[in-house]
Amino acid sequence: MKISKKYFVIAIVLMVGLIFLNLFPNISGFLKNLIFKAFSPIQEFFIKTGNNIIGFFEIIASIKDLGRENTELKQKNMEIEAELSKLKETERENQILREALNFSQKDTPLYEIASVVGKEIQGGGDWILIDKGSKNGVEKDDVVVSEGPSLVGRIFEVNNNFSKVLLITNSKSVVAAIIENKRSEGLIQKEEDGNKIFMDFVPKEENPKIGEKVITSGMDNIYPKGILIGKIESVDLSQNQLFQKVIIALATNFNKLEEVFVIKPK
Amino acid sequence: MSEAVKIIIFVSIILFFQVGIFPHLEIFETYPNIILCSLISISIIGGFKKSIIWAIVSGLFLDFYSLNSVIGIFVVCLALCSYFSSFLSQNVFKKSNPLSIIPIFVLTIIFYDLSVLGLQAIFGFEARLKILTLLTNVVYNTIFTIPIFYLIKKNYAGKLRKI
Repeated sequence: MKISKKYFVIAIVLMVGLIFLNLFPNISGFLKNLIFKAFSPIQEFFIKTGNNIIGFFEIIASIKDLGRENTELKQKNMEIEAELSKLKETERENQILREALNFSQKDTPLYEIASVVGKEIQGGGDWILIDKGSKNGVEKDDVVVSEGPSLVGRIFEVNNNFSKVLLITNSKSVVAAIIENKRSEGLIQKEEDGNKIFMDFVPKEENPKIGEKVITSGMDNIYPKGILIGKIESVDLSQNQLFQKVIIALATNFNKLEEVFVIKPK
Repeated sequence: MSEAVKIIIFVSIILFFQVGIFPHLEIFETYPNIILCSLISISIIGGFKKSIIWAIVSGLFLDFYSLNSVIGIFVVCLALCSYFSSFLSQNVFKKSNPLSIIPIFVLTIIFYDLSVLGLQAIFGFEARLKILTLLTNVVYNTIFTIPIFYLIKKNYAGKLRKI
């Protein structure tokens, strides 16, 4: 197969162009922002349409479980309402104590709402694109949560109008976490050879129970303390002598994320 | 229907499936890469010269939509795949029947995965070869490339020869 001179020239021009783009990050950043602006409405529309189509088929597949699920949800709702009234009472007491101790609420973070307008398109990348960037005050390592709030990830790359969020399901991500009731600390990360998210470095003598909540501990100095990560799905005791591996069912449904919140310290 | 409208419809369908549907079909960290599937199909039907534009445009798109800070990894990999698959179809597996096309798909998908990992490792990014993910990727993409190949052959073969 012969390749003409014309294609050799194209290859050289392409190489020079790519080197140029990499040498001048401002230009490539500008181009990225432009491409994100052009494609994000299309991608957002496709993501939402895809979610609706898949959701429709999931509803059809789960029709037989709907009755049982409805009863469970009603029961859960009652439990949550009871918990909510307790929390309201605690909040009121907390407010009184704050006032008594002269504490201000300056540490309460601000939440910036953002839409998911793009995502990894080849699989395995585990990141999303949101429609808030440096113009909205978003900075690298800002924390991103979904409604609940449950942990989504952190800002990895910032452009003028858009930012890339590294999800906690990404193999590069490590989150310092704590089991809510047991107060056992550990690190949340993705399995190297599998697809599961687990909490490592939980001492063997601890006895974590399936269904217990896992929250951020704040020890990594990135994620603030107390954000829900998920619940314990199973415990693997076969790892080594000192620690056990706690498999986590994440609270966030990453396939159906449409809106998120960027937490910005005040 | 004019050829331009046909191409716009084709690109829209590809984007819709890649962005909206396939992420829900993830198995072992992988889902079909319809951009690669269509590139291989265009390379076999139209040859390297016809597929290089698709490789550059879609490669740049993938580069911008990746976490790598180096731009060009996917452009180079897709351009190499374009040459590799058209070379195989013109020199090694010449017969145009499904049995001779499948090895081209399989070999090009493996070539793509390894070249992406290789370039990522060269530029210092995290690159781990997971055999299970690679195998799933090969099987998954091959299954999707066969209908895409015949769809492009049926609707766009004339246009690809004219370019």
